[in-house]
Amino acid sequence: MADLALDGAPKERSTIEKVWGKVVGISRRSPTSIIGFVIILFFGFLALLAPLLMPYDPIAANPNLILSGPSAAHWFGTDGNGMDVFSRVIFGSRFAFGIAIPVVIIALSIGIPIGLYSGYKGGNIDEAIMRVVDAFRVFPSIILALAVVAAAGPSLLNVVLVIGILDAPIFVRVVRAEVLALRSSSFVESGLIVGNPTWRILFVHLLPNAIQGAMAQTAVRAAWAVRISATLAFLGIGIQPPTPEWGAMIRQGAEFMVNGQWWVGIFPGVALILMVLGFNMFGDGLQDLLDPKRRSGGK
Amino acid sequence: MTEPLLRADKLTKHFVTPRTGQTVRAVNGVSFEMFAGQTVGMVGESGSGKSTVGRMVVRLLKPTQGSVTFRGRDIAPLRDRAVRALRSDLQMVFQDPWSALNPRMRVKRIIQEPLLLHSKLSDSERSDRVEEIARSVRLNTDLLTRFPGELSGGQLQRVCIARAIATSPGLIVLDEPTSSLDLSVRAGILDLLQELREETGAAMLFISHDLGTVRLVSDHILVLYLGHIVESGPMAKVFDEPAHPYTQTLLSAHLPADPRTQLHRHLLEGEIPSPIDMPPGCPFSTRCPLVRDECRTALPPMVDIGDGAQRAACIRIREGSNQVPL
Repeated sequence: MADLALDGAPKERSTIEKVWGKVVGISRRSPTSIIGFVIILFFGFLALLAPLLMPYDPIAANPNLILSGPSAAHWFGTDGNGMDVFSRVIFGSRFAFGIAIPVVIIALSIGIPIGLYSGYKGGNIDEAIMRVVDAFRVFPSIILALAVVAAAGPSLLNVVLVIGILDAPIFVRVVRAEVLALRSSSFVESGLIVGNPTWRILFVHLLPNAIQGAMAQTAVRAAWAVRISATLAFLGIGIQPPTPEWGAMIRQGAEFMVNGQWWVGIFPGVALILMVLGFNMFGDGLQDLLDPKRRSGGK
Repeated sequence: MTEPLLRADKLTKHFVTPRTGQTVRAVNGVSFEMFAGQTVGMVGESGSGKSTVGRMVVRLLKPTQGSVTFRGRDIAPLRDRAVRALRSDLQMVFQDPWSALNPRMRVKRIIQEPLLLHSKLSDSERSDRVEEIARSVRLNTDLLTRFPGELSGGQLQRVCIARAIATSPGLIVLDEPTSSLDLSVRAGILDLLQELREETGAAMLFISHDLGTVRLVSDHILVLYLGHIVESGPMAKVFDEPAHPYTQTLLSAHLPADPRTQLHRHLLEGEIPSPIDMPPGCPFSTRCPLVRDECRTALPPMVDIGDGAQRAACIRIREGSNQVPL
C-alpha cells in the first residue's frame, strides 16, 4: 500500500471511519431517518431488556387494583384485569418486533425469487405472475388478512404467515422491475455464454444487482406489518387478550375510554404510533440511500 | 480435405415483433464453414444480421431453420442443458465491455467463473490459472481484486477476452470487440487477439462493420447483406478483386489510411431495406447500380469465381459485367 500513498491516493480508512462517514452523510441528507433509527433502537432496547425493565409481571392480574389511574406504583395505571399497563407496553415491543421481522423475512424470501424469475423469464409466465400480484393488490389487504386469519385461527404463527404472504407481492414487483431493466444488459447474456444454469443467473448475477429496491422497502414494510397486526388484534381477530400485544390492549382500552379510564388504551396507542413512525422515518431515509432513482441532489 | 470445425448450413432466423406480429427476416439461409485455428471476418452494415448469425453459432439464439454442425454434431436442436455443456468449447466476446461484466463481481470471480462451472480444479489451482490467463491477456494481476467499474474500457475488454479463453475453447465469436473502444486501445486489443490466435489455436469468428479492422485479423471474409451472404472468399482476394457489386461499393466507401490516395468511390443511395419488408429477388436489387429486371424476381445463387475459393451471389458475374463503374 506504500506505493499507493506515493501516488497521492487517499489513505486507507478504517471500517469504523467509513461507517461513521456514511452516518454523517445520511444525517445531513435526511435527519428524520436518524430520528427513526433512534426510535427503533429504543424499542429494540425495550424488547431485549423487557424482563429487567418491567416492574410487574405483564399478565399477573391484581383483582384489588382494577382500572386504577397512573400512580407512583403503576406509572401507566392498571387495566380492566388489574394488570400493570407500563409492564405490558414494554413487553408489547417484543410482539411488535416478533411480528415485523419474520413478516419481512417471509415476504422477502417469497417475493425475491418470484420477482427474479418473473422478470427474467418474461412472456406468458411473467404475465401470469403479474396478474396474480395485481389481484393481491386490488383486494384490500386488511380484508384478506381478516378473512384468512379468521379461517385459520388467531395464533401468532398464523398472523405472521398470513401478513408475510400478503406482503410478498410488493417485493415481487420491486425486484421484477429491476430485473426487467437489467435483462437487456449483456452481462446476463455473458453469464449464459459462460454456461451458468438459470438458478445461478438469477441468484449469483441478477440478485446482487436487483436487491437494492427491495432492501429499501424493508423498513416501511416492517411498519406496515406492525400496524396491520395491531389492527387485526384490535378487531379481535389476531392475537387474543390478555396477551400483552398493543393492538389487543388498545381494543380493551377503547371500552374504558368512554368512562374516562384513558390510560388503558392511550399508552399502548402511543407506543404503536411511535414505533410505526420510527420504521417509516427510517425507511424513508433507507430508500433515499439505496434507491438511486430517489436520490436527489438538493432538498 | 479436413473436416471443418464448424459448418453453418442454411442458417435462418426470423423474429416475430411482439405488438404488430410482423416477421423480421434477420438471417436468411446463411451457409459457411470454419476450420480449426482460422479467423473468419464477417462484415456488413448494421441490420445485416451479423450479430444474429454470431449468436446462433454459439447457440445463444436458436435458429428458426438450418443447422450448426460443431465438431461433427448439429448443435441447433440441442436443449439448453446440453448447450451449457458445450460452453467450455464455444465462447463469445461482446461489443460493449462496460455492460458485459457483472458490476458486483470482482474481476477474479468473473474470470474464474467458467473454470468453476466446467472444470474440477481446486481453489488454489483455479487461482493460479486465473493469474496465468490474466497475464496472457496482458492484464495487470493487481486488477483482479477490483470491480469492473474501476477499470478502463480496454482493461474491461481484456477481462472479457480472458473469461472467453479461460476454458481453452475451440471457437470464439467476437461481436464487434473493438468498435466501442478508443482507437489507441483498439490496436492493443487487435494485437492481443492475433497473439492469442497463435497461442491457443482457437478459431475466431470476427464480426465487425469496420473493414479496416477485419482486414487486419481475418484469413477469410464473409460479406453479409440483409441476412444473406453475398460474397465470401480469402481475405486478400475479396479485398483486391471484390466480385459482388455490394462488396465493391462497400470497399470503395472505406477510407484509406493515406489521405492523399486518389479516391474512387461509388456511394450507395438510400438505406438498407427493412428486414420486415424484404425485396423479392436479390436483396441488394433496390440499391444496386447494376440492377436489371431479372434481379428483382429470383434470388441469385452463389457463383464460384476463379478456382472456387471466392464466391459471390450475382447473376452478372458469369458474363463479366459485374464491375461497378467507380
